[in-house]
Amino acid sequence: MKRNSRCAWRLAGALVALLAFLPGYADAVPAFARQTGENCVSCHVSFPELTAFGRYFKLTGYTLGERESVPLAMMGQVGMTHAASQFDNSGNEVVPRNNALRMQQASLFVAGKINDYVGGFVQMSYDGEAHHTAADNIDLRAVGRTRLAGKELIFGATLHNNPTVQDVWNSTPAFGFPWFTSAYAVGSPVSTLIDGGLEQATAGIGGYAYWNKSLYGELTFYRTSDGILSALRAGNAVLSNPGNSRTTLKGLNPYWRLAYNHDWGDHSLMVGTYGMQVRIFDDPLDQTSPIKKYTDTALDFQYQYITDVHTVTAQGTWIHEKQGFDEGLLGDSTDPATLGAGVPYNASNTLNTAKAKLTYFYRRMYGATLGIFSTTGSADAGLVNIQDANGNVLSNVPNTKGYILDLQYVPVQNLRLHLQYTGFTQFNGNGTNIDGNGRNAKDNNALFLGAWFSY
Amino acid sequence: MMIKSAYWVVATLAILAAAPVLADDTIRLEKMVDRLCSACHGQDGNSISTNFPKLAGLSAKYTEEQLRSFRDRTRADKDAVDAMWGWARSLTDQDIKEIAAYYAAQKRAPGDPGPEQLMNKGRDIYEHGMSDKGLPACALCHGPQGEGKEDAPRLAGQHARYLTRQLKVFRSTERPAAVAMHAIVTPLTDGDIDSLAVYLQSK
Repeated sequence: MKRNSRCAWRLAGALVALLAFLPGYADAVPAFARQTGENCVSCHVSFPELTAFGRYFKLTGYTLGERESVPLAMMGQVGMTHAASQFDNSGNEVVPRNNALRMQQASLFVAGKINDYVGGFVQMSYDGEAHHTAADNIDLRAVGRTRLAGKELIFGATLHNNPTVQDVWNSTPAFGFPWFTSAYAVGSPVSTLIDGGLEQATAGIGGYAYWNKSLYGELTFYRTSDGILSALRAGNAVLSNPGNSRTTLKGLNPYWRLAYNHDWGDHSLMVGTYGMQVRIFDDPLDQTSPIKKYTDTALDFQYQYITDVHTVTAQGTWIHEKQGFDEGLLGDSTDPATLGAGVPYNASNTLNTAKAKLTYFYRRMYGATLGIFSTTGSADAGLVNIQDANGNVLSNVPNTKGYILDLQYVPVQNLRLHLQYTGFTQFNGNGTNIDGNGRNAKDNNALFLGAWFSY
Repeated sequence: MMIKSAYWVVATLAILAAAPVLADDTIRLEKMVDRLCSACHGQDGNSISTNFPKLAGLSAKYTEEQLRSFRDRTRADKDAVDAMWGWARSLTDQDIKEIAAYYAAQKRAPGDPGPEQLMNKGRDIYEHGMSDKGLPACALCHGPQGEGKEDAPRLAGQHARYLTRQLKVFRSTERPAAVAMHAIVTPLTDGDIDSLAVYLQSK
C-alpha cells in the first residue's frame, strides 16, 4: 500500500475514533457553532448550504454570539475516485490516483467575531495532492444595523479574495453545488471567469445592504491582491506557475449583486442577478502587456423548504460571459501549430454556463441531490480543435454537458459521507469521439466515495 | 413665579439629562432583540417559519420561565437544544425580563385556517375537553379564545406545527417544568393533537 494511501487510512481511522468520543452533539461543533452555541442545522441545511438564519449570521458579519477565546475550526476531505475509463485509447492516463483513497484537502479556519461589528473567517488549506498549504477563502466584514421605514436594515463592508464568496445564497459559484467532489476525475474543460477563475487571485472590497430580509444590493470592486493585500493569495499560484505569482488586474473591476428574497411559512425564494467586468493583464509582471477583458452577467434563483423532517432546496444560475482579447493575444490562424493550442483566434468570444440542482434531506441525515450543468461557447479553433485521424474537424466548441447524482449520509453533524456519480453527455462539443481517438464523453464519468468531516 | 419657572427649568434639564439613558435603554433592547431574537422570531414576534414559535403576546412571566429554562438547560426538547440553549446561555436576568416584556407587548397575528373538519374537532376538544377520557377543556387554563393566562401561554395564532411538536414533547420528560401538561396529553391521540393545533393556529 502506497504511503499516501496509508496516511489517508490512518487519518480517517483516527477521525472516526475522535468523533466517537466527542461530547454530546450540542457541544461538539466548529468555530461559528461554538461562538453561537447553536447546532450546525441552525445555520446550514447541510454544510455549506445556508438556512435563512445562516444567511443572517453571515450578513451580520459573523458577529452573533460570544467571541471564542480560541476561534479555530478544522475540516478534512477524504475520498476515492473510480473513473469509467482511466486511460485514453493511446494509453495516456486521464484520471490519476484511480481507486486510491486520498486525503484531498485539509483546512484550518480562524473564524468568528472580533466584536459586535467586525468578524470574518480565514481559511488555510492543505492540498493533499500538491502537498502544499495556501490561503483559501477569506471573508472579513464590518457591519452595522439600523431601521429603515420601521424595518431592519443590515449594511456592511467586505474584504474577500474570491468573487461570490461573500454571497449568502448557494446559487452563486463560490459556495454553489457541488461542494465536495473528486479532485482527480475529469471536470468541465472550461468555465466562466466568475465561476472560480479568480479564486484566491484577487482582492475584493465592497459594500452591501439587506433590507427587511427581502432586498439585497451589493457593489464590490476587485483589484490585484498585491502589497498589503497579498496575504489574501498567500501561497497560491506559486508551484504551478512560479514565474507568475499573481493575477494582475487593471485598476478596479466592478462586481454587482441584486437579489429579492421572500420568506413565507417554511419556504423561501430568492431571484437575483449578479455580474462583473474584469480586465486582466496577460503578463502579470508587465502592466503594459495586452489585456484580456471579461464581462460576466448572471441570473440566479434559490428555493428552500426547511422543516425538522423534510427539507427540499433548489438552486440555479445562468452565466453569460463576453470575452475580449487585445490584438497581441490572438493566435496565428494560418499556422497549423496553433490549432487547439489554447490561444484564441477570435478577438471576441462568448461562453454560457447553466447550472441547477435539487436536494432532498430527511431529518437532515439522509440526502440526495441531482445536479445538471451545461457550458456552451463560441467556435474558436485556436482554443478547441478536435480532429479525427484523417484530419476531419470534429469540434471547435467547448460545449460540455452533464449531471451529478450525490447521495449523502450525515451520521453525526460533524461528518457527511458522499456517494457521488458524475456523468457527461457531451464533452468539448461531442458525445462520442471527444478526442479524435475514440474516447467518448461517458468515458469521463466517475464514481466518487467521500467523507467530509469538521470540528 | 420664579420658583415655578425654576421648577420647569429643573424638570426640563432632568428630562434632557435622562433622555440619553432612556434612549440608551431603548436602543439597547432594540439591539438585543435584533441580535438575538428577531432573525428567527421576527421583530414583532410573529415568526414566518413554523420552525420557530411566535412570541408576540405571550405573557412575560411565561417567556421569562422559558428563557431561564433554556439558560439552565432544564428544558431539553429538540427545539430547545438545537436553537435556544446557545442563545440563552449569556442572558442575564435583566435581559430575560426585558426581552419577555418586549414580546409580551407585541400583537399576535392570526395564522392560516385549516380544513374545516379538523378545526371543528379541535374547537370541540379545546372548549369541552373529552369527558370520556378525563380530559379537561383546554380553555379552562388557556382562556376561552386561547388568549392565555399568566401561567398558561397564549395558544391562539401559534404555528400548528410548533403546537403539534410541543404537545408530543409533553409525552416525554424533556420539559419537566410543564408538569400539568404531562398528564393532560396522555389521552390525546396524534389525530387529536393535529386538530387542536390546526384550530388554535387559525385563532
